[in-house]
Amino acid sequence: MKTRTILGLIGILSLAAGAADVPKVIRLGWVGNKYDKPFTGGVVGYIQENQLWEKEFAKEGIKIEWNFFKGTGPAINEAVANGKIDFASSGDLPSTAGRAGGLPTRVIVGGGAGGGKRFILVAAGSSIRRPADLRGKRISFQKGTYAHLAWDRYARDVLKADGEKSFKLYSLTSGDAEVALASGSVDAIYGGSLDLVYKGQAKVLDTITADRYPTVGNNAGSTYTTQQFINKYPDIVYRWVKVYLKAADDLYRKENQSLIWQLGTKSGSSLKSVKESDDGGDVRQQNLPIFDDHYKIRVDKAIADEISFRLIRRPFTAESWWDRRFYDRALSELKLDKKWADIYAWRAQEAKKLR
Amino acid sequence: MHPSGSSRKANLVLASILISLPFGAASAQDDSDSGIVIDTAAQAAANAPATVGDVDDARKSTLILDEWINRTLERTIPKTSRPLNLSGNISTRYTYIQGKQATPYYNSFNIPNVSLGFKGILFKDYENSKNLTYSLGFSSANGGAPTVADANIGYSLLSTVDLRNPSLNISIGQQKKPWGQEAQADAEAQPSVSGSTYLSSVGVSDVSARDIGVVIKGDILPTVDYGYNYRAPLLAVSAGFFNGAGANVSADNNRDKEWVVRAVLAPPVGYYNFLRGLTIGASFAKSEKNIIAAGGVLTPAKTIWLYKTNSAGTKTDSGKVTVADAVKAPSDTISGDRTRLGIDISYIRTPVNLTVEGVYATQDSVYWDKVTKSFSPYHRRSWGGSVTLFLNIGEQFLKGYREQARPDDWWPITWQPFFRIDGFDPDDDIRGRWDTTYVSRGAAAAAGAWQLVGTVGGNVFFARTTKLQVNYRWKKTEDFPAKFHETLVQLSYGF
Repeated sequence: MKTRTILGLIGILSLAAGAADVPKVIRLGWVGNKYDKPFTGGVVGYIQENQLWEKEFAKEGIKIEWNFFKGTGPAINEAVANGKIDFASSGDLPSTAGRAGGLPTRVIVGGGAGGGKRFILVAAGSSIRRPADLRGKRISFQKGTYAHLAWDRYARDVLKADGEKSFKLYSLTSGDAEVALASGSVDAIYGGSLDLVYKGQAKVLDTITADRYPTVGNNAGSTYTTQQFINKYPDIVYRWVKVYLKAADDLYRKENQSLIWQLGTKSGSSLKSVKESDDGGDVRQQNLPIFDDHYKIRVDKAIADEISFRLIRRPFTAESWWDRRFYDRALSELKLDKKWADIYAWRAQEAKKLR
Repeated sequence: MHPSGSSRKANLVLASILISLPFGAASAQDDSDSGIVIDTAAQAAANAPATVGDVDDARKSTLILDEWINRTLERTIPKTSRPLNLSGNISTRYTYIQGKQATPYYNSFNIPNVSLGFKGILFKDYENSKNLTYSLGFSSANGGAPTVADANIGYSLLSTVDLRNPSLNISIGQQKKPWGQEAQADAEAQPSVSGSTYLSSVGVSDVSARDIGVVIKGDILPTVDYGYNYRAPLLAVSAGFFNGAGANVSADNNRDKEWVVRAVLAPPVGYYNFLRGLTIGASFAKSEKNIIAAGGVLTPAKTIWLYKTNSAGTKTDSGKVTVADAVKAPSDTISGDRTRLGIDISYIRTPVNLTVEGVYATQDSVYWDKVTKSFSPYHRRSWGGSVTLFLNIGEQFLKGYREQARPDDWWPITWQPFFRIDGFDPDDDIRGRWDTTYVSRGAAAAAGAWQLVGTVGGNVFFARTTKLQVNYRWKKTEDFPAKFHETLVQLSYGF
């Protein structure tokens, strides 16, 4: 009896210790939007809409805290550096610049293949007729974000110019940039919203897609956690990734195209804008988050370009940054490795074109 | 009847709002075990094309809103000729001082500070962001009449478009002197209610104050970390040229102008580097001051305390002494040179922060020599310093974190506990004159006794512009056996 009591006490203590081995709250950091709406699109928007992470962690009483940063990638990096965020996602420049600067982030899910459409907008009455006319003009985007790297690439590969020196660059958030364009304070926006075009205040000067401008349109944002969080809560990371992959599999189906667009409007963009910003590719090919050469090449190229543009100083490789354990295990348990085999094969072919 | 210009503008705004409304963004629901969200009937209706009736309704709504906006603009919206950012700050304090008190009773509520500020751009340079700015501010201390605090115009001499470029700005008018670390610090780097003793004491207070003149600020060799949009110049220099007579003085009252220079070095590292937030600064000021030696019957009281010191300056005795003859002193005004030197090190890297500052000041001054029965000049030397250790637990000072899309008036709570020790010796040689000057204990303390102050406390930032501060101060003054204990509770809020 005594032995049983002692074992019981040990059991209770173990449970108590185990219970303490989970965070009280999981803090998420996502890119905000110009409408200040605390929502996002894509698979994370789907998870948010359906409270899938909330449900997954409810039994331990773990809360999910959603943070949408108006300052986008750089603000997310600041929050991660100060220990305020456990999971986050941002564009290729901010996520790699953070890592290059020593931020202990680890990428835990792969990336989709599509970057959608991005637009270079000029004012409706602008005399700028073709991309070459942009030389020497006032260009706006938010520095330190995906658009900064994309612009430098566009200037180098399309305009044959130095993106930093041959233009006057203004770092403005997307909302401020649109106001500046409408008021004539800047001549063009890289990454502008079509909603401005629908209002009659802007026109599209150029459309960036991965097909049209492979070196510009093939961006590679990352979803990551921190090494400290992995060390402390590996099981939480695994379950988080598993929910992510399951949701991606549920969402990214051809029959859900309308739903995917609807999710895109939750951040405030019009449905028309969301639809026209879609590059029209296969939903699964474009969006399923996959760790493979296709993703690796894009991340490594982003790092190399950032070094050459002097946006970061210290090089590193995608593989040294990734921690695939949780992804691989979840993929296997969900049998997605077999279900997504066709996408893996397609991406392997596409990766050859990227080399 | 043609619509007015403002009416057309209002129409455009409304049309933009209507066009940008996400008509298709209504709610959806989970309708299956698989968790897939499907469109509801309401969603389908929302996505249906607009009818002529819908468009007519929208047009009527636009006209009603147009009229309402124009009426509001005309009747209730204040106008300025240039962009204006209006701000204000109020502090409400309760002070409790331990021990026996005579009037005035310090244990009381008061409003130690009220300020109102107007800032804006006089000319906006869209090409290079070399903007022309203005600043006008008023403040009132302890219910006194409001006085002009800031009244200056500023201009960016270099383009501020590219973070990687050096910067250079000039401002002319009444403004704060660019001297010292603590005197320049904002709430992130200065947690206590009261500043260090030397900032408000004889000898140094003038360089932490405002004056009328010109300030040029610039920096070179900035490190830019695009991962955080973080910029840290290797060297930042501020140089000021002032009357030296103080704020709100219509004409200079001394022969020389005051020079103030401050240089700050920061390591060329990115945001995540552990050296980020480390700065080493040096400040120097040189000026002339009119010293007014008040005339009249200076001393003695009939019975006063006297201190006796030996040649080494060590106190050997003190006691009550009766002084026989009163001394009649003529008033006099003497020009004296002043220098102020400050060295500081700061490590502001939330959550752990440390600031250390040392101050050395000299000033030509006078004392009444009872032997020669005249004012005699002397070179007063003052020393001061402070060490502040504090934490920032929360997100108040993480700008990127604060700027979030949230559905309500969300603000993260931040705790800022701190400990500071500071000291000041306004006159390191006063003992040398005690034997030749009639100095009572009170006068000695006022003129040259050193002070050592310990402050412990904390701030809670619980709304965007509101913080509660609790400070406990302990003060020891040279040759005063009684220690000074003070508790301050202050609510600081602004808009």
